[in-house]
Amino acid sequence: MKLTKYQLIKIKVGIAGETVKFSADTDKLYERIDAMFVSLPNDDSHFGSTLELRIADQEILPEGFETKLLACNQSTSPNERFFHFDHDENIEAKGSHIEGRYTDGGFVTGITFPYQAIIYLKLKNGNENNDTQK
Amino acid sequence: MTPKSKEIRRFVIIPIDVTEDGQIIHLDRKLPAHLLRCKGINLSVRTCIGNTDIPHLGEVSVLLNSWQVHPFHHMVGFRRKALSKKNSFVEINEKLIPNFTINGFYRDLGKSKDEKKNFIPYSLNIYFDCLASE
Repeated sequence: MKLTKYQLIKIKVGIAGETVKFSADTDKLYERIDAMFVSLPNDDSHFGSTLELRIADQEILPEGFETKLLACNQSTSPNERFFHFDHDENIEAKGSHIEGRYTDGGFVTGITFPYQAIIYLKLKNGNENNDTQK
Repeated sequence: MTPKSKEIRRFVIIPIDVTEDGQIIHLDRKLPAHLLRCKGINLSVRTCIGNTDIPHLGEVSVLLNSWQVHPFHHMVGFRRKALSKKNSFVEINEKLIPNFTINGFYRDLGKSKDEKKNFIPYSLNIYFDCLASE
């Protein structure tokens, strides 16, 4: 049994201020979602950009939640850039249905459209967790 | 003995739109009754205001449980770089009384100006990281 998998959800954003709805299913072979991270091709695109997320009909991020709280700058090591769910917070994977809505913040200076937003989900099996950031 | 109901994380976001120099915006919001505890608070300026950091953009004061506790009073700053090294919430860990309100204020300090000293409107979010009963 593998302990960790990174599942990517890619979202194409065509124009400034666009809202893109998306859906996906988590990998059935993993028990839970341990952490997530939102990567945009330009850090400035995080200004005003939001992500609403529901997993298995459970609200994870409400409407208006800024993506910049789900990412860190380049001085943070990749494994510490993730937004971690609490230890006692069980976000079940096992094929859970994900529904989301990404809204671009409308910041255009230096931004090339279209761009691709990538949501990284860190899926885990077992109880092992060596990450330190909460 | 009745089993303890499952607790889940819920974020509450209070958006604030500042449209005038020196504006004071009062907070008065009733929370959903199923929220049990506020674990932490975070602030984020949604708008890119200019090309320089503004450490003292405004001042925010938050009271919970209809003015009974005052766990948070801080300056709000704007950082030109959208992403930070870390996005930790200020830990407050206050029990929430059902149907009581969040109160307080946001006060603009008149620093959001362009080169001609015209006021630049901006928006920010106050995030509450809460536990709720399922």
